[in-house]
Amino acid sequence: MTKLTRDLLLFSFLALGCDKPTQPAGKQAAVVEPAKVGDGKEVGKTAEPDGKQPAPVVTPTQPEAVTGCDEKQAKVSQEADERAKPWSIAQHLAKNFPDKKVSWLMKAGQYDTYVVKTAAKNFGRCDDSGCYLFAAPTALIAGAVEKAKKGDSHDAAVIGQALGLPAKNFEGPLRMMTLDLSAAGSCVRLPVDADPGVWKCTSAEDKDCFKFGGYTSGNVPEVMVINAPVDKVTITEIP
Amino acid sequence: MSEEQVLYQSPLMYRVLREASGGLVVEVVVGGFAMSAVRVRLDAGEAAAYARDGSSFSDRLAREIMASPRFGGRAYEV
Repeated sequence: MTKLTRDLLLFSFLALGCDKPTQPAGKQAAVVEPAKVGDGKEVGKTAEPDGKQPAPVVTPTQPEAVTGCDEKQAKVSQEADERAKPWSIAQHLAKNFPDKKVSWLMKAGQYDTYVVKTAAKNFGRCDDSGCYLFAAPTALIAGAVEKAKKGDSHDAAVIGQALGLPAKNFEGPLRMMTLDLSAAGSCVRLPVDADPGVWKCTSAEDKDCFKFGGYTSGNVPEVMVINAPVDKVTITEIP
Repeated sequence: MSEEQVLYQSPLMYRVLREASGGLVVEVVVGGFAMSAVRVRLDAGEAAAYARDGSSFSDRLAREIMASPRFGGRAYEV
């Protein structure tokens, strides 16, 4: 079995973790303790160790095994794969997310307001069908953050340049979230135009708008994660 | 003492705020894997629509702002 085949099998398996949508942030009945931010650099709960379990019996010709997502998300994923042909979410994950780790960035103030204070159970924008989150390869974001370190602060322009986004998106203290897809059980698929948070491109100059196909307009790989559990995410402070 | 009051906070990651001046503002988290927030002051028609329709109006408005974060030049950074 080739490495690519093994990767495809594993990533197809990952998507099987998508079952019923969990309660959106702010709607859960029970209070869930959010990851806490303290003085240390890595302060959230760390995801489970990298799962090395054998792949389930599926063939690499079935990347649409993302039907492991709930019915609605499986349909969206199948349609996205169809539109992206010959590309697919399974190929995208195998090529761009080989360590199965995804990350995203928030300004510290918004993290406090929309995650900590609401005791959110999942990251992202939530409606009755689930919580929708854009994420990029951890190695890419971590590399950009590392390059941008500047004493007790960071250079927003360096992160912006590395990630193909305007520097203003990275000004001030940030939080970097990391999720190990192999442990999270979240649904993962290609992002589509109808996803909450999609910024529609209106001109060729737009650098930070949505472009279908799994890459941002700045050419950074991205995926849509549905129901990324807060308690399985590692949170890193970027002062 | 806070100068603004949170009228509504949505799981869609936006808030409706009343400023000290009495005006309404919607704050929306925008962006993909790098999220930030913008604010838009509601005009009289939008404020009336919010008073009438509540979160069904603000949900629509917030989704429009997410899809076009400059919002025709009306949005400003938080």
